[in-house]
Amino acid sequence: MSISNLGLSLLVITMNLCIYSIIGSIIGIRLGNSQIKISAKNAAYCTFFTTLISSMCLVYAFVTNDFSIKYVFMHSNLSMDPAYTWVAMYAGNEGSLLYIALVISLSILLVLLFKPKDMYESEPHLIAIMSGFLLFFIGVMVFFANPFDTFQTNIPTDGRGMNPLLAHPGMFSHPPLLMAGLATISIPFSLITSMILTGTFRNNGLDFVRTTSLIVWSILGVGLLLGSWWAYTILGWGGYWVWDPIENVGLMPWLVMTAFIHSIIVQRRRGMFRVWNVLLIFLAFVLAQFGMFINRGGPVVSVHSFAASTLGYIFLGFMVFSALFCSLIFIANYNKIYSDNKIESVISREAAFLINNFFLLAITFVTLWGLIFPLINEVFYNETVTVGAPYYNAVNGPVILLLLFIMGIGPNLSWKGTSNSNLKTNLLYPSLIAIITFTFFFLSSNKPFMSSLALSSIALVLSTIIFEWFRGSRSLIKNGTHWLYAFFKLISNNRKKYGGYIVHISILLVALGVVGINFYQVKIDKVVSVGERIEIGNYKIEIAEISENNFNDRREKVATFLILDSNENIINTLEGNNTFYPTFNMASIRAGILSSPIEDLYIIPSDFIDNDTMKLIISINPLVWWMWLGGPIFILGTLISLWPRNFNKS
Amino acid sequence: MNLFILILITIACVVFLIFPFYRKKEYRKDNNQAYAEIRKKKVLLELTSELENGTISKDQFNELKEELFKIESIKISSNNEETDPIEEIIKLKKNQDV
Repeated sequence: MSISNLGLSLLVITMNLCIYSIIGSIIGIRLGNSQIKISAKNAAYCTFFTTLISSMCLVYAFVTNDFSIKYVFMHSNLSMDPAYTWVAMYAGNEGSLLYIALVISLSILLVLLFKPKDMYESEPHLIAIMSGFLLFFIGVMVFFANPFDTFQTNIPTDGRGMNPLLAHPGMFSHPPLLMAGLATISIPFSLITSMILTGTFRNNGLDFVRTTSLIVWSILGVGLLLGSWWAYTILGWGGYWVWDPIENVGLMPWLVMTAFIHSIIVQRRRGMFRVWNVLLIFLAFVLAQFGMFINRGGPVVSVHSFAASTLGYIFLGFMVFSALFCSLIFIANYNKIYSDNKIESVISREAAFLINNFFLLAITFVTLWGLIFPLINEVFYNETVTVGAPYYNAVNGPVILLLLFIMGIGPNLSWKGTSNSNLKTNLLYPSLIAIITFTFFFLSSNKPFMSSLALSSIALVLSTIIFEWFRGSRSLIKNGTHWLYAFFKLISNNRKKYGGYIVHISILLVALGVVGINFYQVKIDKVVSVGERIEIGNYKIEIAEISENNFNDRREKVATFLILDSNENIINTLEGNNTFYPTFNMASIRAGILSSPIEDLYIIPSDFIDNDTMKLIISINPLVWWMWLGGPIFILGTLISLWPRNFNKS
Repeated sequence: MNLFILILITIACVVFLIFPFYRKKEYRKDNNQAYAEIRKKKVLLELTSELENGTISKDQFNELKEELFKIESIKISSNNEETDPIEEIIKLKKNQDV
């Protein structure tokens, strides 16, 4: 038996396990039979191991260059860096579906293992829903997109190779995290749906829903940020964020999940927003399926569509099914989830959360409209329209600013209502700092009004967080605690809140980078020859050398630049390259980047005219370094927020 | 070798699926009250922290605390309403015996 037969057989076994798990759970629920329920649960456990071994078969085929498998032939070749053979599994449609199935099966295993015990009532429903979701992906692979399909005759001796744009260190982190993030939105979705179906969507299990949502949200967030970093270093993706359709379909569920993880706090604290939370999680799930559809054969053209296929209609069908399923569950159970509690004051924490939710949804719908508008135009008016970055920046920009503003105000408000004295005490200094920041930047630079507004909003949020930390630590210091211990004690006492604030700081750092690159960037285009010098900002750039390297699958032209400071001292040597892949008729351009907290010197060898001459795009991108620092801080904040507390001991 | 792996996995799955029918075990039901207490403790600690750093006043702390206790008690009573019909029959029988 070949490795391809083993891999496919295991997929068929997984499919049967899913069917058994679904039917077993339903029968178990109907008959109230514990044995059937446990057996169905065991089937759900088994799906992980069968999917894992099936995935290992595909990785093994890549590592051993088994070109008898069509998928391996399409996405690998002998001259590829061996490190990439371990991850080439998700370089195309079929393999990435297998990867998604593996992630879902792992989610099922982990959710069933770590789910709190007071959620036993909804467990069979949860198993049925999650197994149903897994069944869809396994079914697509078994019937339409088999990753183990083989050549019957004329087995090739070498492969076509992986999409050149994917040959980047980012391949090890960005695609798996983004796909995992989109797939695992099914976890909070399934948890909430199962709780609704069993009438237990109250406080039990809510912490677990929040925990899983935070994990999913952070995976998706880190995946998006890593994608930005990847796109920043390789020109083929179009820049760190260009509002490309595939970028947008990853962003939209993340925005909705951001709204959800905020509003679930209100439900946990005050028993409010139950209907709203259900709507949000359903929307996030449907948008994740929309993302799958756009990414896999959807009608929108994107530079990121490396997993494109002809299966778009299947994913469209699943998305429509998901939307109908959600609507049905919502309508049928509306009375069970409706909450009587109302917002008592507009100047309250819960109102701030709701406003934050509206802004996040506004950005989501603006993005969605920009994505579907060209399709609508083409279908109804037969006109080709492109919606690009100017639309998104013009419409989303002000809403993002308002969102930043509410991020600064919200934490100063109290639950149920805020007294005037509290408002004055908590908001006075942050507001003053914001006003001073705005005045300084508005008067001292000739940049647009929006840039000063953005920087003052960042100052408002940051000072709000710092002052709250200060107030909290001060109250502990009064009791005789050392200030450093008091600071850590404060965070430890309310990890969810202060972990959240650290995440807010990471968002501010990303915003700082965006403001820097959008409003303060300096850019020049020039045709230069070896030996020539260019001046930009405080840098002098000397073109030291242009070399050419030929490989089996690519021709690589490398430009070496000497970077000198104003005193003619060499401070660094940078390389940028332009690599052409004849098989794909595609070029991949890698920028030379000298990064510092103040600014990035960014050199793109966009075109090599002859052996000595090339066209360069050079820019100084201020504050981008902080954007990438936002990633680790984002993870740190999420981890603090998730860190469990042992109440049996305390 | 691959065939052996496939057979082994198939047998393992089948055994794992039929195992619950041989080793009869009831579906686990835990004490929800204990979990409600842990949840209350968690939220109370957060509220105390907010009281300490002045985000909420003493009155708001008390109001929110009361609200929290109310929410958790709603859960418990709703659980009682949604008891298993078989359990209800057993309860009814017990009451009749008394």
